[in-house]
Formats: sequence, structure tokens, C-alpha cells
Amino acid sequence: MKIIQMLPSLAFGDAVSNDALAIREVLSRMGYETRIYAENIQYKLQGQARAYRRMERTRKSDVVLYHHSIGADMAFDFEKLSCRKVMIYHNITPPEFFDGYDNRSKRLMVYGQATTKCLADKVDYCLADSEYNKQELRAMGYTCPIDVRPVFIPLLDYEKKPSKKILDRYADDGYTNILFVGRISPNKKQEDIIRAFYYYKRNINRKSRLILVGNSAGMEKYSYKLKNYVDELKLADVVFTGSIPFDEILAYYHLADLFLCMSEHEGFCVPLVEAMYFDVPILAYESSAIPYTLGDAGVLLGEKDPVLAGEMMHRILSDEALRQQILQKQRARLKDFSFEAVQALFEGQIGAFLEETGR
Amino acid sequence: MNEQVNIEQIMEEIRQEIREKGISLDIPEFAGASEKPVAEIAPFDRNEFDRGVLAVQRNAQLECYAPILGNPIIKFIKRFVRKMVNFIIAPIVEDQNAFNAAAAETISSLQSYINELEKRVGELEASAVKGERK
Repeated sequence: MKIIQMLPSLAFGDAVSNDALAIREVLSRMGYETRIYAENIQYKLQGQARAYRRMERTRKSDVVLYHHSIGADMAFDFEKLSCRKVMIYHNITPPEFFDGYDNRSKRLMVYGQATTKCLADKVDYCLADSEYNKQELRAMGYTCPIDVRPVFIPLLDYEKKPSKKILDRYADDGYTNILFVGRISPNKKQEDIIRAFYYYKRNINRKSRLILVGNSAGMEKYSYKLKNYVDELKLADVVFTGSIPFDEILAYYHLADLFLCMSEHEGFCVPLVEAMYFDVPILAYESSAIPYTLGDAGVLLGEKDPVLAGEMMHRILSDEALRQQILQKQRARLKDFSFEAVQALFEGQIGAFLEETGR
Repeated sequence: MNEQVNIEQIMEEIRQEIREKGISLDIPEFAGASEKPVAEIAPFDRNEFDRGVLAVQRNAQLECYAPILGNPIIKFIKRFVRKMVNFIIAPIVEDQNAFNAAAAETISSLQSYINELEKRVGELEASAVKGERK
């Protein structure tokens, strides 16, 4: 029996790719023969996966895990397999977020949603990154067993050395650094982060800086609009990093005083766990999977009010008792995302599935 | 025992204050912001570029076919099919390899040029600093 993983793209630093690589490691340790097939393999990861067009034939006793996060033709190949089929659902960003920004992305998300619905009665088991994702699948008519399993996050990688260049540039300059990490993408609502920061900087703390770490590839229109908005507001000290090396991302986390998230759609939100790891207090808008990932950690905003967000930022940054309380809860929550914790959960879930469906 | 801070209470206090003082954010809406490109120099990642050059050099040469796998009958059939289509495949792969070699060489030349420019910029910056100190 083999356990094969299929995914459209394997790319360095991508959460879905990291998850697939970690799952392969865990399955190997469990003693299973396992491989990854991807349609696109980034050159940095050549050798970690095989080209999907050369995917081996599967037998009824085999298991295929399909990582579903975007519209892809391979979903229909997955549907037709006669082996045991497990879908790992990372969520599809609702296409309406891309209206006016990127038609290609919108089409892919429409396709992705249609694919998800099509697979409702074709898979044997689902693993969802969050309770939010699980509820979404149920709403789409999935009746197979669905378990929640957080994505594997390579927390050990965060112990690497941060970029000295970035630390030297910004450390000890007396500025309060507000950070958000995530692709420049309309669903992540970076404009609402800018609005909250505007209020905070103009009314509370002029010595503050907003750092938006994220790649804007494919979202150029949205990225230009954000930058033009910052210019229009005459807002200084807003840094758009673009695509940067990992050590620079680490440096920004080391520099951060607060992590601010105003995203309106996330399937899990790995950067929240990263912020927990770096002991950065989190203030986040309560949407989609964010409250599930945070648990009782961080602070959730129930409404999109930049004044409320700005004032709450000030309270977290100035009230040491509050800040420590938030950090304490975040440290406790972080333990649920350790490799060992997620591994134990995954081993139990996949083990139970294999036993129940053993052929 | 430390008293737990009531976050919801804090939030409600802030909302109350906002209401009482009539605080609002009077700024342009994001919807009205321009989508036109901002003139900027995109950040250049030198490490990424060097890794890309290596990958181009490593992968420039294509082979016509992957190794033949399978049982003897499958192998025979595959070899036969390859012989039949070789007259179409081989020239295409040859042209592609010619293009890849030219592109790889050009990219390597660009890398050398960037190295030279960086060295030159370093020299100019050093002499500018010397000039400032005088």
C-alpha cells in the first residue's frame, strides 16, 4: 500500500507545500511508502516531488491525499481514482474578493469552488485545516467523515538567524513597529490595516511604523492601489517589503511590537502562529478561521472600526498587564501547533482512517 | 494571584469613549484610490537572482526522453513509438536546447555585468564618503 500526495504546486515557503513535505516525513516515519506529485515544482524544491504528469498508477489498496486550495484540473483526475481518496482542504478564497483586481485569480477560485462542490460525494475522508473549513465542507454537502487538523508549520525554521541588515536598519530607533505578514491580496484587507495604523499614528503615537510583509505577484493592481492610498493619506513610515528572503521575514518578526490582522478570509492563517512563536501580541479582526486558529489567544475585533482598532492597539502596547496576559495565552495556544502535537493528531487520524477502510 | 484583565470590558470602554467624544476617521475611502502603478524601483534580491542563474545553467540542457521503465513488452513498445516520433521530437528539442544555451549565456553575462556594476558602485560610494569627510 502506498500513500501518495497530489497538489497543483510545490513552492518554497508556501504553507500548503510545507504541509505536504511534513506529511511525507511523518508518513515515512510511520513506515509507509509515500511520494508527492505536483503539476508545478519550483526549482528550489526539485527532487522533493515528482512531476504529476508521471504519476504512478494507483491500486485500490493505495491512498491518495489531495491538497485542495485552488482550482486545478488534477482534482478531476483525483475524482476518478479507484483507491481510497482523502481531501486535505485548505480552503478556497471566495472569488468575489478579486473583482476588479485579477480576473485570472477570480476564475481559478470560481473553478476551485466548483471543484470542491463536485468532490462532495467522491471522497472517503477529509482533513480540514480548521473548524471553519470543516463547516464549509459540510455546508457544501460533504457527508464523509471530516476531521480538523492544523497545518504542519516548520517552527524550527524560525530559530534561524534573522537578517542583520534589517535589524540594523530598524532596531532601537524608538519606533513602535506594527506588523502584518501575508500575501498582498484583497481578501487580507491590507487597506484596513493602513486605516487603523493611520488613526494610531496620527492620534496616538507618531513614532510608529507599519510593516506589510508580503509578495504582491499577481495582485499588482491591488498593490498599486494600496501604495497610492498611503500616498493620498500622506502617511509616512509604511513599509511594503515585497518578496523577501526568509531571514528578513524573521527580522521583521523580531522587530514587531504588535501583529495586526484585518483579513476577511483565511483558511487557517499561519502568520498568526508565527506571531505567537515570536511573542508578538496579536490584534485580529474576527473572521473566517481566525478565531479558531487563535482559540482564546490574541485579541479579536468584532467590527471593522479603525478608531477602535487604533485605540485597542494603544491599550495593548501601553498596558503591560494586558500585554502579558495576551502573551501568556498565546504561548499556551502555540503548543497546539508544535510539530509533535500536530504529528500525534495526524497519526491518530490517518491511522484510524486506514484501519476503518482497510482493504 | 494576578487579576485577569477583562479585554471585553476594555473594548466596551473604548467604544463608549468613541461614542461620547464622537471620534471618527475622516479620511478618503480606499475605494477611491488610484490603481495606477507607482513609480518605484522594485526590490532586487541578489541571492534569489544568483540561485536562479544556477538553476538556469543546471537545467538548460534538455534530454529528448526520460529513461524507459516497465516490463520487457512495455519497453519494446515504448522504444518502437520513440523511433516513430523521433523525427518530430529531436529537431524541436535541438532548437529548444539552442535557445536555452543562448539564454543561459546571456543571463550569465548579465550576472557578470551586475557584479561589475556593484563593484563600481561600491568604489564610487567609498570615494563619496571620503569626499564628505574632508
